[in-house]
Amino acid sequence: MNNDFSVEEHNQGAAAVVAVGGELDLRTSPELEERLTRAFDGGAELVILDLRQIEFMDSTGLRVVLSAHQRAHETGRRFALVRGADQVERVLKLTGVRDLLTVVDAPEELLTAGE
Amino acid sequence: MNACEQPIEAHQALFYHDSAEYLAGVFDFITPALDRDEPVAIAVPEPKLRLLEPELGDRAAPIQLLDMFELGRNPGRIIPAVLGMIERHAGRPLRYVGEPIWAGRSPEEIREAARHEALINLAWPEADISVLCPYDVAGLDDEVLRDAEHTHPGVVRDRLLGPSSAYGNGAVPPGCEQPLSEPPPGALARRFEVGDLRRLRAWIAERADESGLDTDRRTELVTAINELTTNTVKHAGTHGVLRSWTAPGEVIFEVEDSGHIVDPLAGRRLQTAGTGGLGLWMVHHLCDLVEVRSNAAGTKIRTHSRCGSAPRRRRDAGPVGVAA
Repeated sequence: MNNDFSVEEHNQGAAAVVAVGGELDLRTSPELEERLTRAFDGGAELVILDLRQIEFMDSTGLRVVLSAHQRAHETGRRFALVRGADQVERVLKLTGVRDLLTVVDAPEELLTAGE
Repeated sequence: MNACEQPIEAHQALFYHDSAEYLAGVFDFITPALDRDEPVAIAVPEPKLRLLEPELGDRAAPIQLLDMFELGRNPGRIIPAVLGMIERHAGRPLRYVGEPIWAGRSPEEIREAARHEALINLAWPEADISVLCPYDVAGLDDEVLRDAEHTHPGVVRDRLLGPSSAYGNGAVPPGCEQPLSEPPPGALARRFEVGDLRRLRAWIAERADESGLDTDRRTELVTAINELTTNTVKHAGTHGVLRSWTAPGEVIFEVEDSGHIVDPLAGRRLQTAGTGGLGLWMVHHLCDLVEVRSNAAGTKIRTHSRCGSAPRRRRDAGPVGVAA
């Protein structure tokens, strides 16, 4: 475990919400990747990555986001982000990654509407 | 034909002496496309836009006009922008006028702009695009003009397009690869390893604060330089050295490691598939100039970020050509 990074998961029906906090970088991204993989492996139809508590994200974190997006696409499931801080938004926009993704302000937007 | 053996029309240097010759050269290039309703984009320094606009009149409407002072401040951002244009006009021939080198640019900026000119010959082998690059013969040094002949398969003189005898087949002009200057005596340096990335981010933020950068710019700088140090520990063995110093109007960072960046277009093509390639792209879009020297002996990447009154790009804008 890293004390500058936290990850929590809760399930609601067929949806998994993975909430992360702290700094998502080369050292902490593998842990998130593992959790997202587990959520997909567990059969979730919708995986929501909640970035609201993330203070910093680098390209390694972006890669994890992209690979989750890819996995959802390939297996006919859904993947969405909950909007993060300015730095996170900036990185997502700068790389065009944000245009590829569903981004919401809170997980409830997707949970109440769709599940 | 391989990627860099370009037809002379594909990438032309326009050697002009005055405004009349400039206008004639640009209009010779764009008029056939405008007559056929084909897409045209023009990225030139702002005074040149003001010269062109009245002459274009009603014909300006469909043309994408961009200020090269802004787009090409870091020449590393131009190819990404043009790739975005090519994508938007997919299947249609595109004519692009780009003037990234102007009298008064610093030698460092001109070197990176000349590198950009060389890389244009490699950047879009499959695309249906012709590029015209105006060069101010009266204002630019002879060496800069010689490099233009090296980086362009075609040269326009006196309104006639001919082959360049000095074309380098896409190779970067040797002058662009000369070693970076030594950091000044007051430069700060930190050796780093994989476990140090987080502490380094705090150190970068301190340097940014000392330079008087505001919060947004500090965040951009931390984001950018962290990508460089991350690349070092990811690709280049165990450690690297991060240096920082200030120069009038800017703060400079340099990362040195033993890695070798083999792809000359690294950071200029957005690669959302695969496992790498995003980091250098981010660095190019977050810093005002990026100098890269990389060979089998190692890599140095030096970034320049303007402080103080430098014009700011729009806060939420993505890179030109990437946002839909």
